[in-house]
Amino acid sequence: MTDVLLALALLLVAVTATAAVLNREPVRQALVLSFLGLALALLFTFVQAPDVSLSQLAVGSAVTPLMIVLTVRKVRRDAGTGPGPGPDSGPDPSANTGPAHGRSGGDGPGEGGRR
Amino acid sequence: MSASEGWLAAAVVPLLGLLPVLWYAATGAPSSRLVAQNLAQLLGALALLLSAQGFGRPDYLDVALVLAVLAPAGTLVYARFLGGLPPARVVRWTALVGVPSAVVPLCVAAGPGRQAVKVLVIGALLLAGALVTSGGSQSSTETEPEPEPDAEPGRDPRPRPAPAPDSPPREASPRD
Repeated sequence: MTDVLLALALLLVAVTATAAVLNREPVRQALVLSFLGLALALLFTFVQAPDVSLSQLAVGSAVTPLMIVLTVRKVRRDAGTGPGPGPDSGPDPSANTGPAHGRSGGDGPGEGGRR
Repeated sequence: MSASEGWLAAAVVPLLGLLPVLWYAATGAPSSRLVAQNLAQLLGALALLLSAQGFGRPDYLDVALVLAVLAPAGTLVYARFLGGLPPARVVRWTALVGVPSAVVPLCVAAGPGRQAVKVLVIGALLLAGALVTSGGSQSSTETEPEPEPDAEPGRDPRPRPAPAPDSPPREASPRD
């Protein structure tokens, strides 16, 4: 039964990592990355490494996606993109667009504004 | 099938539940992704609880305890940055059905003692976190003070192309 758990956790990690790569918009990617941290923590527990799993849970599932979300927020605010001036409506309109449009609309002016 | 095999087989159930949740987390709208991430952490904590009993190592419960503490806090922080958390009935019912059906047999199997108390604490944390985060967070994001105001004049030296709004940004959240 341990093999079934391990196979399921490995499958989950593989599918989640692929999904995290295929998602091109950073805010959406952050949530998939959080899921990947959780899947890795489950896998580490199933291979009897709970200490690694603890640190993976804290870092991979909480801190790294939060840093990505914070960075995206900061970059978009500095670039002044987005139709809404409010702080809460900043990430939403670009996040509601498609992945390719969100990336080109969110990152392109940000890079241009910085240089 | 021995008892530990049975516990591990029970841990397979929330793991299988993670697969459709992953579909929503990877392809849904940002708000449904947030709900999916919340539900995934709940299911992951249940799998960790059951597998700790299945491996016969009560110290593995620490991972589930950390996850039970981190998951609602992380979900609320994401909801703060992504602009609100929609109410999610699926999280509420998964918690109301899944947490007692995992925690009560674990407590019976552990017997009275420190491990049963730990399992009960983890179950209570999971249940409370799921009930808080499944109710939606629109009101809590409104009452929360804004830590970093957007239209602060001294922070951005570059001239902004957009016209500066006269309305104060704290009351300018248009969604409510």
